[in-house]
Amino acid sequence: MILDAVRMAWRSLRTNRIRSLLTMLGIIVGIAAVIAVVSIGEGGKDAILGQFRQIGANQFLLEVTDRRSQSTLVTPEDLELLRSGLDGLEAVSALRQRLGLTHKTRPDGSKGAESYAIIAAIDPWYTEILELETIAGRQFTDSDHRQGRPVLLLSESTAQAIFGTTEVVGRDLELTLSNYRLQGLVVGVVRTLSGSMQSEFGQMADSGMMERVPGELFIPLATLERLEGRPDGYAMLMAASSGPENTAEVAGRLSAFLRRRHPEATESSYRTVIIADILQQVDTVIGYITAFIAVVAGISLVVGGIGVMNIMLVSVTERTREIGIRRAVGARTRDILTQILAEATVLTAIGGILGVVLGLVFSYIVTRIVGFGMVVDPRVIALAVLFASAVGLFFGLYPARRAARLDPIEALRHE
Amino acid sequence: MTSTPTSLISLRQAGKVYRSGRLHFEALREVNLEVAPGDYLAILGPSGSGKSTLMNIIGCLDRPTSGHYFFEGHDVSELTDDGLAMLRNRRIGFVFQSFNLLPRLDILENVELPLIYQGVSRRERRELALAQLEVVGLADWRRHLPTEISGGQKQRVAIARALVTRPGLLLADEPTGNLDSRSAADIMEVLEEIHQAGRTVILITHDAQVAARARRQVHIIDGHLTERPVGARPVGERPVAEETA
Repeated sequence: MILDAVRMAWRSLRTNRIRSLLTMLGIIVGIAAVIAVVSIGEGGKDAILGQFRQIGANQFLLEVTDRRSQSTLVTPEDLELLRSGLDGLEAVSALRQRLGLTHKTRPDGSKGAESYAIIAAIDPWYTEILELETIAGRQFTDSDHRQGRPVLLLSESTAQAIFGTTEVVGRDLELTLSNYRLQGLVVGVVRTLSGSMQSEFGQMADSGMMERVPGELFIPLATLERLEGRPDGYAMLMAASSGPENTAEVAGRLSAFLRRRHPEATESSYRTVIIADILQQVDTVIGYITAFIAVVAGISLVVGGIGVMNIMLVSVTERTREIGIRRAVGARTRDILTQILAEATVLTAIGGILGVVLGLVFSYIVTRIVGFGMVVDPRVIALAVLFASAVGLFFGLYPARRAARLDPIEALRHE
Repeated sequence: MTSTPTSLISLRQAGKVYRSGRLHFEALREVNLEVAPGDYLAILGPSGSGKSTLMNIIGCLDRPTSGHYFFEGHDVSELTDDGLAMLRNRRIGFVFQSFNLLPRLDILENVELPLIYQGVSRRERRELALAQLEVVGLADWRRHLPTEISGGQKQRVAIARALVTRPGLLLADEPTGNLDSRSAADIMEVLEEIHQAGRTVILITHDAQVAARARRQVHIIDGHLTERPVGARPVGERPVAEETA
């Protein structure tokens, strides 16, 4: 009987194809939005927060924002003083980044096309703040740092992009850094826990004229300074406090210390960024976006449901005589109720399925463009279709009861 | 009160009053009627005579407001709406003046319709409906829509639908009212055959010539029923409809 009702419903909906489709629209949009939010949102959260999640809550950055005196507001002497003791400061590292050029290496060993690489020059304290996981080879030694040896660490993706393999320990790589040329030796492959942070805070813009290899290339800071000379100052410091509870306090103390050392600095010369705060903000923003779209989807489903109710009421009125005929040949009130409910439910269930398809297609396109993975959860899909059907059942109830309560004699007389 | 065991239909002092606010309209007054199984009865009356009300009651679409109506021994006024629906579904076949086929279903599906509400399987429904369509000679038209066939054919489909459940009673309300004389004669012939096959037929009409085809006639005027004396005309001879055709 239910199967007959569903079959009848399907036929009836097919006869009014355009009307059915338009009626479904609210449901389609609502379900598509839900599917897209879940698929893109989860994937996006992973992509944005994935690497950051492992960073401790005690890290922060200090940037010199005053561009005129940027080179002198954090001097090497400042660093030495800081390291000899600032209350609560566990480690501080000067970080310099350069945009370098390198050649891709063809399988036969010859040089291929030129491409950019972000080169991070790190001092020995860097790894006290951000861990580098060794995949192959070794990391920089104290003597690498002391002597400024031309040694390189590559992240996995960089190795893959340049050499086409991650087995690159012991291979030579030539880098061009503005006016200098560096004949480097790859000593290790590392996994960074902070990949996108470096490029985010690095101050170079991708020009788009040349391909940039993903990931990072590390050299000892001393190696860069041997080429360029020791700088008068640094533009950015990375630091860690002794614990997450005093990060903000230590960050404030650090900039206060620097302002004391540099009377020419203004209030806004230094900016500190607590990484945990950024993560918090990103998490909050994603939460807001998800909530907003969920509300839109909810409204869309309610509006869609009301649309379904409206159309079902019209349909019941149009088919009063049909209902009368069915009643005359023996349909019980519950048969009529089932028929109209089946129609509303099949309508929204199809809307739900179309919505899922639309949502997945949309998520696929967006994640392809943005470049992170899409998370498809079959349970969410099943739940979405089920929910859409429930909307039909709920909003079909009123029209169905109206239809079932029609007096057969009146209904038969209806033109 | 019980019904006469031999009667298919038994109306005892049945009345129907319509109330609407202060308005009070008596459509049927103390109607008594016995119909035996196998009867061919015509209920003759002008429009507004209460004939439709009587048909609705006999067809179990409505209940009398006073008196009793027994159908196959069941007191209809004691049945629930679902009980009435079941009775209509299994024991009564309707044929209407305006055919009342569902326009979006094809001929075969229209004939299948009552069987759906009996819970008969799809395959069995097909078979029974097709067999019934063959009886009325329209099996070849089974995939056509009602809009694609003539009035006479529509009424044959309606008759097939009415008979597909093998009901005890065929109730025909002005079955020739929307037909040309030739189709009308044809449908009257079909009803005659149904009667000959032993089924009870009740014909409701305002047309004396149509009513003359029945074995028995009752007149209804202003809600009062009067039996026309049997023998006022020769039974079953010289069908009037054919004379005029």
